[in-house]
Amino acid sequence: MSSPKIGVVSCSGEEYVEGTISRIATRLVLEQLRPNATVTICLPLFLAGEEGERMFAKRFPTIAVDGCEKKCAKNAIEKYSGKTAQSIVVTDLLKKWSIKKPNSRRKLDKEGMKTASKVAEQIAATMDDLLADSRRRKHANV
Amino acid sequence: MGDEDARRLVRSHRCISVDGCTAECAKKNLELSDAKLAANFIVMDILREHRNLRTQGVTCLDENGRKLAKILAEKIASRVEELNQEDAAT
Repeated sequence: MSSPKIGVVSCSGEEYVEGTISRIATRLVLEQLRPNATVTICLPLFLAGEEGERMFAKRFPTIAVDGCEKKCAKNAIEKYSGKTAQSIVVTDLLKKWSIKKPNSRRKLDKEGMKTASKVAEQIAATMDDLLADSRRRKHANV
Repeated sequence: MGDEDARRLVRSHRCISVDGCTAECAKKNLELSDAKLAANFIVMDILREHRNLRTQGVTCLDENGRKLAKILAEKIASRVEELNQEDAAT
């Protein structure tokens, strides 16, 4: 039986370093933290109208990982496929954790990679909550 | 996503789309926004010209990936220069 999947949709913005952190954190979840439960949805492809991506986001829970308050990933999913299961905004997390944002948008330094790992752990924890909730519902046959 | 400032920018300035794959999403999204598309690059095309520069990692680029990115950056910069020269000639 295949394991349940959660779609993670990352910011694709280049204006702020938080966009870079979103993308790297999402890749870390996909490659290292929860490789069997994660499907990433390509935001530009989704916005361009690709039906497969939109259908996936309609049928499976999605987590939007946005770099800034514009929340393009969350807004795109909710406009075309329905409500996101969770929304994570990197600027909010950095504020909450009192972490200074990295300087380079092109390549994260050691501290920047540590921040991306912390965001990735937050995404993974959110996924675990959603999967546990889904199992509870299934068990209760809700 | 319909951000008006971003739309105004791509409609009032020439744009160069840089796509990773042949789905050309950046180009398509620019077209959907009625942007002025001046050029389009696809990383896979550049990779075809430099098959020895296939990168291994996705999360962080390795040396091959950085070399390929530099080649692409130079191509984009060269196109920007051509566009500026065209402007100057008119």
